Amino acid sequence: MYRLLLFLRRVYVPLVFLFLEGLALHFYASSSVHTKARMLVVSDNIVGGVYDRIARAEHFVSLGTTNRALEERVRRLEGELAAWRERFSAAELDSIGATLTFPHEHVVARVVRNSIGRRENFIMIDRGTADGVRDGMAVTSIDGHMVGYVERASEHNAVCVSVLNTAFRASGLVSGTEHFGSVSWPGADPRVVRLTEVPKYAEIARGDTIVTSGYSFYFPEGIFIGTVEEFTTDETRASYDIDVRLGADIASLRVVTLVDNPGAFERIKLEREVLGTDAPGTATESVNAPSSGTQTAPRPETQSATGSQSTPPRPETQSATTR
Amino acid sequence: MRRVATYLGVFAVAAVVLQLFVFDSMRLSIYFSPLAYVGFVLLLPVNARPLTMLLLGFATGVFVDVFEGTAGLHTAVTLWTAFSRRWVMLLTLGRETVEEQTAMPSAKLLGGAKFLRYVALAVAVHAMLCFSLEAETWGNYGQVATKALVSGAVTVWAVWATSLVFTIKTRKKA
Repeated sequence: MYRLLLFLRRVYVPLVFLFLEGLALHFYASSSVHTKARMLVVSDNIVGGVYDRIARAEHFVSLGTTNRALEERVRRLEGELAAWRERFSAAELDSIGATLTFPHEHVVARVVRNSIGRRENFIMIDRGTADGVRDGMAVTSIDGHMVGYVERASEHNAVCVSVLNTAFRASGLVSGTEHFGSVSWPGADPRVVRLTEVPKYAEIARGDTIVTSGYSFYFPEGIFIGTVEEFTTDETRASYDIDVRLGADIASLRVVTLVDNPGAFERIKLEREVLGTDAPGTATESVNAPSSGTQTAPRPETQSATGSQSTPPRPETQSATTR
Repeated sequence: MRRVATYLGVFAVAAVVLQLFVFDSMRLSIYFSPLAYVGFVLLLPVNARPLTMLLLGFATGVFVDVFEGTAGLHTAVTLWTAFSRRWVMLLTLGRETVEEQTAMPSAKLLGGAKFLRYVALAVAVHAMLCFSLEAETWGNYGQVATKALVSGAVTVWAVWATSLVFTIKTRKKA
């Protein structure tokens, strides 16, 4: 017994190390994107105020760029409106407007914290449930390009999974075709994501537009993701791996728009009830879509949620919330 | 008591100000992800007890994991750095220095070259482990190595700057 005590006294440091190391590695290996988002909500409640001040300063410095983006967006929307006015009289437009329904609620939020240097990047915003933010809302840049989705919203803040998160999945469609696949970030270039599982007989060309397909927990169809940069055929898998240059510059995000995908919240709630989890299903949202390929994917009405000159005007800010 | 206050200051500078508020707010490149918090562990007194090192390393890792949402990654790596620090010191500073010195490692105490060797080796191992564990694959080895090199260099600078802040302060009071 004495020898055992002597032995333990000699090796207690390595034993403590192994115990704590095992604990840390086990927690790291078993943690999901939801665990990490929960931790960030906690941290945001403690030091969110400091980040908010830093973000305000950054926002002030980048006001010129933000204003230019907004001016460009207004110019584009005015162009679309003018095109409609040429085709219809004011009375006709009024009658059309009266029949329109606005399925997507929009909330505008400021980015408080953001990262691109990790494998799992998150974006913290300064709007929460009190402002109409709900888990599962799509997050787009100010010019309507895909950025991520809300993972967890607290009362005044929300944590979003960035498209630059290796756990992120979305369903992407090659615009103008019926070919779709799974969008993910390989973890290398912060301007490039990958669209996989697109059948090799699809006609793809550099510069083709990729939009969200609508087979999605989080994203309404037609949100602009990016353009085809490179693509290679995987003979054995009979599909394309397509590098897509992102439309949104995630590193310089200052303001984002949150778009509610009707029914998403209910689906998430249902999944939570069925699976007994307290967060939206694993970030592989494409599991909710039909298997990728060319089945009967509905073609998006728009090339880009806001980017196409030929698209009918969309309701942009039905309930834009400002603090 | 004064030593505790000094190390609370080191923690505040390395893990809170530099790590959370400065480096985490910078989005320069995918390779830019400095790990300034490790400075707290590396600047603990040369003669710090192994168990104290482990517990403080664990606490630092948990703190960073909670605030960065990394769920165990930094805890695992910082524990290793705290555990292996004595070997790194023996390798870079020599047995005599390690057994004689009792103060905070700094360029002033150890000499610039020795201090740089010590910090650079510890940070290099810490960064390689951290980014390899984060990548979860050996497929992106080049990217991991580049990230460790870029972020490691900035981390070494941050640790040096932190030690300088507290060395200057000590000299003024003396």
